[in-house]
Amino acid sequence: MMRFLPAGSALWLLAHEMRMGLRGMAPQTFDGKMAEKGASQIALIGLAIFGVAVIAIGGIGLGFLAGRFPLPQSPLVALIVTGGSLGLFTLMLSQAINMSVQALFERRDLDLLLSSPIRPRVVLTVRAVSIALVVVLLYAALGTPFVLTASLLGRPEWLGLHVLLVAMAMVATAFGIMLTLALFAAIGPRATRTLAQILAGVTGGIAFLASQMWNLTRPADKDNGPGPLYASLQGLLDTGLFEAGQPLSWPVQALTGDLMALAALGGIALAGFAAVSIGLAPRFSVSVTEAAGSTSSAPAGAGADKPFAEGLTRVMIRKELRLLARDPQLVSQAVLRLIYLLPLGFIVIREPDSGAQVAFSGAGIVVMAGQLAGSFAWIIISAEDSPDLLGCAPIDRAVADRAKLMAALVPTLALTALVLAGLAFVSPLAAVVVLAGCVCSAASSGLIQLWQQRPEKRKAFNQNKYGSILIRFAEFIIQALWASATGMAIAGLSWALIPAALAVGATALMRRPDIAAMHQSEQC
Amino acid sequence: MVESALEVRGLRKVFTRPAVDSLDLTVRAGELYALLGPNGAGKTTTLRMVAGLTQPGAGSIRIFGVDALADPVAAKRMVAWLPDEPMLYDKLTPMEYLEFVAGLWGVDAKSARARAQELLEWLALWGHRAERCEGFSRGMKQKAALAGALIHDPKLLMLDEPLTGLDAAMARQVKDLLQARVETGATVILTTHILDVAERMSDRIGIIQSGKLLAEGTLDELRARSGREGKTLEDVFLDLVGSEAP
Repeated sequence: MMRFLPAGSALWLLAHEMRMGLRGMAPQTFDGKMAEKGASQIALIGLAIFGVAVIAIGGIGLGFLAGRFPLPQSPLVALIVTGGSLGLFTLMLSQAINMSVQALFERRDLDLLLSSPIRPRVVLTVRAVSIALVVVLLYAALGTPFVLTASLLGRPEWLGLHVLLVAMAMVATAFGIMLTLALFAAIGPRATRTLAQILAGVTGGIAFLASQMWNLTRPADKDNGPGPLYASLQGLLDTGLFEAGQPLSWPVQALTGDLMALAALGGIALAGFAAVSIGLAPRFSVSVTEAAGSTSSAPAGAGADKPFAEGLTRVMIRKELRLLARDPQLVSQAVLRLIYLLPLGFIVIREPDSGAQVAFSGAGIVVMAGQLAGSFAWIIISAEDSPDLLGCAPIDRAVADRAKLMAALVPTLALTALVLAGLAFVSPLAAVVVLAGCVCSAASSGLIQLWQQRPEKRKAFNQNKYGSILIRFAEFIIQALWASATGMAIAGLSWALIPAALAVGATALMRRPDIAAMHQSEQC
Repeated sequence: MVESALEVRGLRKVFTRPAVDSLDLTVRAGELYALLGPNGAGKTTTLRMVAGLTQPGAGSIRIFGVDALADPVAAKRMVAWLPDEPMLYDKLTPMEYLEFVAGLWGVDAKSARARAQELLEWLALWGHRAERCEGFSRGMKQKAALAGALIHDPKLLMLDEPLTGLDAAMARQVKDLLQARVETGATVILTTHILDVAERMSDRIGIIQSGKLLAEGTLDELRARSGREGKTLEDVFLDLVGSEAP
């Protein structure tokens, strides 16, 4: 396609970005070659086909409904649509912030582009368009079966949904780039990288928390009438801000094909996007250049001259914890997982006497502990940055592996302890049981990563393409078994032993007897 | 009798084709040995097998008398391997890196800390000791990795293209260091494409091609073998490699 476009033009550059983006989606092995087809890939393709089928069937079903029943125009519907759009916007913003940070810091091709005669404004515009395209792609794909069905059944106004999605993606991208560059200017490149990643995690988490707001604020006793959220929403409706013609009703009006609303939303998005692309281009190119030298400007820290640790295990754990703490993407993911736990905490605090709620929350904490341990263990074990250094060192690999496993469990249990402290406040006994469940779940996930280790690049974690999907699925099943056992134990059921035994058995099944031989064959 | 630092016998490694093919090699203790060869000759694969990073298909490796295949841990304790791509962690500072490497080789913490300071000062990295390696230039990374290779005071130091990315002053410093290590009894094996360096620094030179040792000896012995008395190592090398080219 590129050959048909004038070389050096914005469209030509955009075609290049899209080509690189598509190639980046293909699974890669450690050495960058295309992965061979294996059970994992077949499973992935199968899951993808299943997912697409479910989305298509669900979308077509909703499309039939929308075709028969027009969207009612009322302040309440406007409030719901605008609220939903805001929730979706925070998810888009989270993704846009992440991608803006990558655009600034993963700059191999930016060196080439910014040293070419192409103007920085074109480079930033193309980068921004590609971010917006990636951001909107998923949601547009999810909505397409619905929109097409509704349109074919005589409701073409639903095509406005795609306009709304594109407008939101453009605004989210503009905000994402603005925020990243503002952080860069305010706190410098090093802190921006970490803070922006955490901010992206928190922003994504806000959408999740908002989706749980109704559950969290409803009264425990149904007889106590509507909750405070209901009263707040009613108050909002009473202000008249969601009446037809008001800016806050534009999203719902766009979905009913109101050309004025569509033009207003599209115009605002386009203006904001253009302002950022044109206005911030000089700042962007300066920031990219500054980001290049940013890593060498760290001041000498207080820890620079402290004594060395003694012994392989201590040294290994210290090194791994340092590397984990210095990985902004990982920190962001850990924060996000903690945010996902917050609603469970609210539920328990709201209904401390409900055994079922405590058991359910405990089970959720156990799954999260397993997930955190699995992620940390993968990064520490499979994504070792310098396998050759360990390979040529005079160490017992089993000792090194055990130290790595411990290093994965330390941050997992430290983060889980924060949540457990809250639970202990409500139910100390349940907290002890959940702690045991967390240790078991985390140990299972860590051991699976240890036994199934395969050298991969750390970058794969950032792209969520790490490890085998089958192994991750097996890990999740085992975490669910530990969660069930924990929930049952909190409820005082001796049946808890059954899922616990199954979890132990399933974990043992994941052991590869050739793991020692694998180390041996790679290294003498 | 001079003890052998490294004795390789019948070493073989096949990937899609034989990378190392029945190689016999002896490096004497206390000498600086240059292993030369064209690209893809098998130099790095040979050294990786000695370092314990690649399992040989056949053959034996003895390091100061220790069978490196039977007792790899004991063998590795005496060796340092410095590849052309430094084995560093970008997110660690040089001090943290040296702490880790010292831990791997079991150097006691107190003396490792003192040695780390000495090495970083000597390599002009002391002022950068608290900065993460990710911001370093290639030469600085190479220096940090060199410090890592020296922190446990290895008896056998193997370097793959050690001068890549170093400025002239630093290259001179590294060459002086290697000579000094040899003078104190250590053994150094290096690969390089800079034949002048091999000519001026090495006690003996091995030329390898297609995984086989073509010739070995002092520069004078190699000259005699190629029949080009008084010529440079470059002439001799090209003669030997050219005449054996497939």
